[in-house]
Amino acid sequence: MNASDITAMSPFVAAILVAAGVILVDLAWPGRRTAALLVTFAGLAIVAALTVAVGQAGTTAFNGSYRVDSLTTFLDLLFISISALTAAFAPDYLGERKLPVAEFNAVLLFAMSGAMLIAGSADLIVLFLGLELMVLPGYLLAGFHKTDGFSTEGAIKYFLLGSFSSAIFLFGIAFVFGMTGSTRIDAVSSNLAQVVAGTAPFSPALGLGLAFLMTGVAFKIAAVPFHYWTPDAYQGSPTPVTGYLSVGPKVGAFAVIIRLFAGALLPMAAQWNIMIMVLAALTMTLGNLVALTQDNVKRMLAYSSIAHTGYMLVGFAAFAAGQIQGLEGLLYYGAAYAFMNLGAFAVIAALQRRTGVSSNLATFAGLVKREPALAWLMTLFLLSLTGIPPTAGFFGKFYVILAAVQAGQTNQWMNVLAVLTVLNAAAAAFYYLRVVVYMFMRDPDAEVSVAAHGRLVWTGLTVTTVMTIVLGFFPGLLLDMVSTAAKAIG
Amino acid sequence: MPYDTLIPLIPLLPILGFAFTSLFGRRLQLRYGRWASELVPVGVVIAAWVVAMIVVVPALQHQAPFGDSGLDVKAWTWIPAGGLQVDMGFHVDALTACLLIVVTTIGMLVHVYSIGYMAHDRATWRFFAYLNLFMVSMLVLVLANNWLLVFAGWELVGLSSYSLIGFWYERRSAALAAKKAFIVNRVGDVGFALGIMAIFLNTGTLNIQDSLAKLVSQGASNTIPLTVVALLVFCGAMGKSAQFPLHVWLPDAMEGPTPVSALIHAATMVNAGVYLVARANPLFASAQDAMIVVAAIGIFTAFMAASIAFTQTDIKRVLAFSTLSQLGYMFAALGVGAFSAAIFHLMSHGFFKGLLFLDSGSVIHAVHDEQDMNRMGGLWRKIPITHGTMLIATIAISGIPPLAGFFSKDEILGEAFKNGFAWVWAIGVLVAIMTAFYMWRLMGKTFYGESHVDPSVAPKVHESAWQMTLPLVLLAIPSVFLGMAVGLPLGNGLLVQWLAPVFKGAEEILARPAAAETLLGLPTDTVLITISVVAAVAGLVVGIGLFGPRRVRQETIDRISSANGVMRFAYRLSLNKWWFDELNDLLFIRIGGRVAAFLWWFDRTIVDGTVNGVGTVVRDAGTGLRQIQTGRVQNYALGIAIGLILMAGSLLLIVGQPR
Repeated sequence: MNASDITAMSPFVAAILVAAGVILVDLAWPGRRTAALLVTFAGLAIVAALTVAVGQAGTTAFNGSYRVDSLTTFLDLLFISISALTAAFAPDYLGERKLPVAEFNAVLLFAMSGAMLIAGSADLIVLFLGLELMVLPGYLLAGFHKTDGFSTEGAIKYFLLGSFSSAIFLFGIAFVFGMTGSTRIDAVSSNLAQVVAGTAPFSPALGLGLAFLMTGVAFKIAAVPFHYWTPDAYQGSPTPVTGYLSVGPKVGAFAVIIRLFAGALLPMAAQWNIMIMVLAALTMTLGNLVALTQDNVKRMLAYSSIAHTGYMLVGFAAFAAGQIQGLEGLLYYGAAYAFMNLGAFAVIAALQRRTGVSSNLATFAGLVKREPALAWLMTLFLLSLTGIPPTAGFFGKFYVILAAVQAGQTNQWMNVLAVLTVLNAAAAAFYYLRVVVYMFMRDPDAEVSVAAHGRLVWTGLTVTTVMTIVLGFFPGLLLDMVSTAAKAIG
Repeated sequence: MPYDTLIPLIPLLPILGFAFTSLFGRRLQLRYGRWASELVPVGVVIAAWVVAMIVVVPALQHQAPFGDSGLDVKAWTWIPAGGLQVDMGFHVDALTACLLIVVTTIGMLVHVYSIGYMAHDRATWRFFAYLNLFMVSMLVLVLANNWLLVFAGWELVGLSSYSLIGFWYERRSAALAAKKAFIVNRVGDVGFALGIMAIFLNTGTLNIQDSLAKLVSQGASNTIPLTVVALLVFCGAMGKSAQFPLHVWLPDAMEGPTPVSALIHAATMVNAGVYLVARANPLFASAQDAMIVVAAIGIFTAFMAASIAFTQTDIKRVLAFSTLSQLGYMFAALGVGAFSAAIFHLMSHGFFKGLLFLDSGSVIHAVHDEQDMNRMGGLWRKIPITHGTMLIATIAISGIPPLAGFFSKDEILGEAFKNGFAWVWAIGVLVAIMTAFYMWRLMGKTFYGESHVDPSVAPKVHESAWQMTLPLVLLAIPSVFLGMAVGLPLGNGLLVQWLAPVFKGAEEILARPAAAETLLGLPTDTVLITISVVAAVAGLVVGIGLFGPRRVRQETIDRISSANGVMRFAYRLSLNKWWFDELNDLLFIRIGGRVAAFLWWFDRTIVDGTVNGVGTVVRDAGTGLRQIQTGRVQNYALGIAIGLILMAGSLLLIVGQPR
């Protein structure tokens, strides 16, 4: 270990330190949420600055087990934004329920550091460590409302199944290590290339390894048929946590997929891509079908997040079929989805600030009369989730579908997938716009009192709104970042 | 001058005005009163006018950095997607500059006028927000440097026009008219959209200048023949510019507030089609068959609309049909290859027709929202400014020298004749007679003769407020002088010189032989001018004879309207607007309705049956899936395990032997 190793990992280290710092501040001044929030946001700013500074260097650390490239930088910045927005949306909701803000932020920051470790991993063991560091705090967050039965139940289910899938994933790593003799991503990759070329021996255990790894990540991104935990965990969690869970660990798990499948296992893309395509088709179709029948907006968004996983998988399938634009589309989609989905959940959380308000459609009836600003913002986010131009969501879908169509020139099935994506996007309009209809055209059953919303919530909503609109008008801004990031792999 | 920043500023200003007014207008109006909500939207349009003028002057004179080919300004890349690059980019050349003059000047005056006209309305902030939105749309349309952005402006224009026609949405007729305008426009838009796709297929670019150059150079080797492309683009133009058979929406659009009629349905939006064809002039010049279609439809619309204007009694409807007729002239000009004449007429018509509409608004205002000319008359003493300016506009539209209409109309007719389209010229002269006549009929019924104004209203008739009369006076100035300023010498005036580089492409392709110098032993120009002046005067004289100002020959008028035989048919043809609404009703409501009813039946029983069948299956599947979602962790884990086994099985099969 030397100084340059520390420099390369400094954003990750800083994230851990900030998390610890939040706990310490809470120890020194118990229950002072202003102090905790101050440390959180200042810390996040420092981490972001470090990420940008280190990202320009482009180095490996710890004997090549950690790697900083433009993809790492892009993903790290995305994770930091997600965490910052979650930290902005949560305090109102938590405070009303007497839940500790400082602990929440600390746990959130630990989860973020895990995701950052994934983004920079160049070794399968580091990758696994990052994954666990990211999801373990996730279980805590899901069960954060300790006195609420649903929250605890969802968390325990999430934890049990998550551990199960982590074990499966670890098994997969063991198989791959056994067959290739290394856990370094580039070593695995070159070894597999020899296997594919026929210059190295092949064992069916490699197929098993692929299956275990794919099952593991499919669970983490909540792809069908490994999605069972999502509705229960999402509905039980406190709403700001649901927003976070539907975005943070999902993008993190996609980072795992990119590092693992696009990095280590790329030589066998022709073999595993069929499974990705099947997963993509199943995931978006089932996610949308079930979302159509939901009357609870939170649960509806949970299923719709499954559908969005499917769209992102389409982008990844296009990449695996040889189109670098597929990866660009996936990254763009991830960023766009993060902002619009966090925004939508923030609106629900704001409405649920008062305890006892359900997230049923009825809560949204006549919202435009009560809280016009929230209603309009929710409309924007829902339109973006539907993929209506000029919003961020439109370009996310556009790039993913474009890449799929381009990949379709060599692989006929990609065309089918592209058409299926378009059909799914159209079907999704129904359940998203239903909420809009409720907000603008229905009258509430009973008189509902209006809650005030904190400044942090408005700031966060402003950021998500601006990003949703800006990425719809100036997609070039993000596209440049995304294509440099994608080049780090391709 | 930093034109790169000035040009994007022109549409940006009204965007800001629109955003501000829609967000805060209501609150401002409630708290501080009407003026507070009107300050910003009117202010931004005046500012946009100033900026536009700074840009227009050098652009018209081809000064650097505009030059002959115009200046391209790219704000940012809008859609970066591999091979398809669409910029948020603007192109300003002399043609754009001409449109900018019309749009911003009339737009500004209409905004000012509206302050007075809408003073009795409740939600003026909404009206001004829509007006600003319209300005944005129209400016984007004329400034855009690529087809996609033109189309965005095109659709936005349609949307804002819809909102403004239906501004008094409580009135059923207004809501219906808005819907009609929107739907009829949509028909043309489909053609335009297909045209854009055809252009992209042929050339692989959406940039207007590049694609036109490519289309022309590829000639017959284009994937989609140029005639088809040109006709598709013309479809869009027909919709927006209300040419036969898509003209039916414009008269109904008069349900909107009168400033809207002046701005959108006389001076700007309806010109979009003319602009589009002029902009695509190399394309049309390379597709001669399409040009003939344009000329034929144009001149037919001119004649038909003029004939309908004879018998309408609603003052705004007469003007609406007159607009149709004049737009027909412009398309006839485009069709015969007289592009600069068309733009010349677009500009002069924009001013005098805008003025006529604002005048009619002032009249309607004066007689307390009465639009039927049979209930007016003898008003000229009571509203002298309105009367004076309207008289000027009437003389201008009739084509009496030296007012603006004479120059532009004469140029169209002369070019048509000289380019070998004698039939267009002949019908054009006939329409000129008709125009002068029906315009005088309007003047006579409104201002002269006995008063038929409602006795309870008559004593209260008074001239409008200064916000309304000032724009009238300001618009009268170009109506008088525009022709003399840019139309002399005839056939080679300033405007022709300005626009020459824009239409050079088309001129080169058309490469017409010089027309005969003499006709009937006299210089051709002299003969043609004499004929058109005589035609205009003839129409006017008949009009004055029948409708005043000295005396009204009511018996003669009555005799004509109650005549038998051919006269009776002609009268009824005109009165019933050639039965186009009835024809559409028959075609689309009755016959189309039958077809739709059948389709509905088919949809309900066959399609829905299938879909519902699928739905039932899906729901059952959903119920089945819900069985899986038991809430028991053991079941979930089992599901994951089964998934893993399936995954492992298939991967083992697929991977098999990778060699």
